[in-house]
Amino acid sequence: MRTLIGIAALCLALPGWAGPEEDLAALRDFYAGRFPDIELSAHKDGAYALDEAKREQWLEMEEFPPYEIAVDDGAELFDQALADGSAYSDCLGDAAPAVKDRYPYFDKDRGEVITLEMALNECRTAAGEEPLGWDSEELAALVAFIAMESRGKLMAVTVPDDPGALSAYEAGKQFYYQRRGQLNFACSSCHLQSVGMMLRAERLSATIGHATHWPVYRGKWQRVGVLHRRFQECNSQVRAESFEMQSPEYRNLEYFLSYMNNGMELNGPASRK
Amino acid sequence: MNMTAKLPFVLAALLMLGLSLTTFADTSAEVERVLAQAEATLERARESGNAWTSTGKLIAAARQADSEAEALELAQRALLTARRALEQQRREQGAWQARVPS
Repeated sequence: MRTLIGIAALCLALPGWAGPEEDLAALRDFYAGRFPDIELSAHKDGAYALDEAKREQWLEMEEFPPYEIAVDDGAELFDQALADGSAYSDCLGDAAPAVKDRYPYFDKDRGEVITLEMALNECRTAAGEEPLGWDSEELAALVAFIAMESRGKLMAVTVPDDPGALSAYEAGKQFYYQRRGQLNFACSSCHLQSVGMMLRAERLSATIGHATHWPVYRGKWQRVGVLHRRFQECNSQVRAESFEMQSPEYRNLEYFLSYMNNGMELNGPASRK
Repeated sequence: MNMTAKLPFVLAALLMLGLSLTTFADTSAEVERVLAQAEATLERARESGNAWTSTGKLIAAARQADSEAEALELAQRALLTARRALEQQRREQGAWQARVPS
């Protein structure tokens, strides 16, 4: 009996077994300790919070933001009536279009994580429209407009006391910390273990700022793209086969990552190299 | 040299040709066997959610190889990467928790 109690106590004490609140507190402590001179809230700017020279270049780029056209396109799309005459604002609730802070969330009835992209496509299909491609410029533009309208709000993702929600959160957490691909990297290998260091010419950013600024105009993409596109890119960079955009794996990862960004200011869309 | 004198040389040449064809057929069968193993292992890695992009590329390269020897080497490398992906997945089930800050 004492052995069983001992094993149970050991399991509880193991890192990785903590709940969402403890995980968030521990992560914030980690970055506060690693970068004592940088306010935690500054990490919303990613690597530009850690590298003054790159920050100056980025701020100059932001004077004429490359995502501006996507925001305008998104505003136009958002205001267009859907096939049945309804509008996105009817479907997304009273706060629309400033609803980025409400996503992702766990839907207890459906037993899955719902992202903003999913919600937008469900608005469309409910109104008799075809869904947009997950990687389409139209969907990215809609999200860019909603992100712009939601700027200044704080990330406030909840993990309800529900086995399904906790399971989705844990799956996302495991994904983040699990090594994968031929290069044997986890997300945390770059963004925790090596945060602040250089990977080739890039400064590695902190986890607590990764979900605040999407969608992003990336110079590499020459367009605005969504978070799951970046997940795919990260996976393939370490030679791991990526998952489909909006797959349960990536939605759970987004859920965990967004929870780890709770309390951070939403500042999307953004530009990155 | 008359035909009788040439006969041993002709027989030897035919024997060598036969042997090399047999070797070629054996190698070809071996490539297919290893490729089938690599593909099955890759599928298992995909099902586990942890396949490597290198495996698929090596399988494709093996199918396009110029020689049987090259194809066999690439197929063996494909199989090795697929097995390592599965091993990584198994190992990580007990390793990832240690990376979570606490």
